Amino acid sequence: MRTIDEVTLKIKSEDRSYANLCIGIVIGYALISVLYLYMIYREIVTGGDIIEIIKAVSLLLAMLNFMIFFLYYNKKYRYADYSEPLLVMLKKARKRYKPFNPDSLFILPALILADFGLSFERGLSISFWAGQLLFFGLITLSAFVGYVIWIYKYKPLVVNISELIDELESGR
Amino acid sequence: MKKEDNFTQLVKENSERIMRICCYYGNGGISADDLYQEVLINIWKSLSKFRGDSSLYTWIYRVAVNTCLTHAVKSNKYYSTKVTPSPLLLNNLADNELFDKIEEEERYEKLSEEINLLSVIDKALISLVIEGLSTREISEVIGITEPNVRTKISRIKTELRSKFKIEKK
Repeated sequence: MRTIDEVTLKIKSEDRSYANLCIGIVIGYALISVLYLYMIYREIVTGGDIIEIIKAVSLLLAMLNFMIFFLYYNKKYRYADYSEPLLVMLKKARKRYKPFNPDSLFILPALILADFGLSFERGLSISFWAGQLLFFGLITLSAFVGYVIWIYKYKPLVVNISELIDELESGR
Repeated sequence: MKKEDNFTQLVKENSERIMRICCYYGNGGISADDLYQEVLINIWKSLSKFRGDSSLYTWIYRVAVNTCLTHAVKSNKYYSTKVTPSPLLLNNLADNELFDKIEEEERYEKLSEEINLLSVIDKALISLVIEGLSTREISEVIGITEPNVRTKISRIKTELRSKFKIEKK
């Protein structure tokens, strides 16, 4: 068995590496946001194209929304609270592992903003509707793949947890 | 006191208690030692949330039971987890109405076997009874009402008695 000091060191090291990962992701979002901010500034100063400004503002807001969603989700779901009563912890775990979490809807504005911004992209030689089809097709495909992964990886867990909750709540 | 000092002191004072809970579950694809480490990690993560609403003693049991049960559920092997209580702790199960004091080695082994066949929730409940927790404390750990705890424990004891058929001395 490891000593308490060894375990403490391991925990602190895990905490540090996870914190570094989070900081890295936030820095990534922040850098992209700064880039769009610069694009907006440049277009305004040089009296550039209004379409380019609208595109950059939409993508900037989408990035900020993604970043806020990431921070919120990370804070809320990073750790399960093991110090709560078993029944409460199980109910929260079931909610966390369900395929469609209402909290995920907070990402919807970011997706709409990103779609809106990208629809002004002139580099793509496809029509507006083809672009929409491609964008929402990719989102739907991602959601479907996520659902299939959930069925194999998390559904058994949700079933197990539900059985435990039913057993705890039964009067016998 | 720093979080690290708090943690070290808490673990030193409760290591045997935590290890006993881990031993009850340390057969479902993970050793009791590994479970013990997971419990310590979860104590560390939850330490800042301890507000003193329950006793520290109950709080430790919560973290230990939740960690062990979560592992059992995630590994999907919880029906094969094993309760290996000591004869002394098993005596906490003894009840004038249901059980006499369990002293004979053969009786202890048979009762231990029967406990291992219980469902994961029943096993969790009975492990807390073996640990000597009161109905109120078990209710705080599990999160169900005291009458529900009493009903469940009474039913488990009745089931054990029917299988075990302890003869009163």
